[in-house]
Amino acid sequence: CASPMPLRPANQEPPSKELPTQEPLSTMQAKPGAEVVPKPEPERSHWSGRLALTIETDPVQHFSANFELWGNADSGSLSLSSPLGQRLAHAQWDAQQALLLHNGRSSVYAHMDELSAALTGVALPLPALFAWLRGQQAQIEGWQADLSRHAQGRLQARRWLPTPAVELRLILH
Amino acid sequence: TLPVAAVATPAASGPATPAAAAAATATTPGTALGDLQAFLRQTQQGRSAFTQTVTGPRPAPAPDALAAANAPAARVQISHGVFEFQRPNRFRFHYQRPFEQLIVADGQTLWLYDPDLAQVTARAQREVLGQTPAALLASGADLRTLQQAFSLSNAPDADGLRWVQALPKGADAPLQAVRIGFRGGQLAVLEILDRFGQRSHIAFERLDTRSAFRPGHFSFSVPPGAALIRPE
Repeated sequence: CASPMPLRPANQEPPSKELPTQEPLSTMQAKPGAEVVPKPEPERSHWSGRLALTIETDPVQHFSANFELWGNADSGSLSLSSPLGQRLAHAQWDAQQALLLHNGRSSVYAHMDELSAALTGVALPLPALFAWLRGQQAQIEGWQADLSRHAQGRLQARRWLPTPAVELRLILH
Repeated sequence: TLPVAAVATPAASGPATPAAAAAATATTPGTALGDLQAFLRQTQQGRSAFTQTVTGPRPAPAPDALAAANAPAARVQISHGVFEFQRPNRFRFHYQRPFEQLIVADGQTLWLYDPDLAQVTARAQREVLGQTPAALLASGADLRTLQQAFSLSNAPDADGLRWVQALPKGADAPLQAVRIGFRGGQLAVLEILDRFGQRSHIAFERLDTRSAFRPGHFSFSVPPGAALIRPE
């Protein structure tokens, strides 16, 4: 069969500015009465920061790393690193497949839902995630995102269904 | 097929002649290994500000011009902080800018605290030492013991520094190579190249080896409100 289209992550933005340390994300509530509308960034295609995933199984499972993300839901790449700068995993995807480089091995998946579930324990909703990162609300069954602190580079999303419940927290640099 | 990010493996070539082989592993004064040996023996503790520059791997060769134009350039991320250590196996990496993260090795446990995420990750130090080249700097071991985990050799001088090269011996080590640079016998640079080709260059300012650390400086307690995670 015809070999799939080569991967083409979209162009990238200049490095983002340094962000001052904010209050811990766990106290993330919009200030009372504050109607906060995030400023959409429809053209943005590169993000770096830190992510934390909590899966409310018994015992609770956690996944956290520094990340860099390029592209969009159709074609892009994600790399996860430790604070000291060692890359832990790298994923690339396009319309045909998703490739994961991790622990010195490469594995191919049909799409990023499968890949992210294998890597982190949670099938990440990529189309919605890219919309949230751009400050745009996106409805996806079972998930709810809080973009009230998007301007401060803070994003939180919660999955109610399917169980177990999942909390995704992102800090954007 | 997907262009695979370069997962390079170290060159297999070694010193060509016996003399070159001897030079590569000499530890006499005036060699990089001599500097490392002196550093391990004579510098029992230290504190230094550092600048860490992480450079992502060069993108995989793109099959056509459009793919090349779209491929992400090698990303550079710069951070600043303070590194402190006390032999035989305690150290702290306190990243301060652009964001705060604290890594503490208290001799038993390696703690990673992220105040923004209000999260502490704790791992047994012995399980992660192979992946923490900083342990090379804070180690209480001598060269011979380090050579159980790393192939150590004198690399060519460069950038005004003498360089030790340390190649991890474990086949599945996540690191490809570590280099330690000395300037006038003083620790100057720690450079880490991982299996993806991502490079982390940590440049140390003047090492303060005299100021004493208060008791408990290398211990860590989970701050109130922070979640504690102990990955298996």
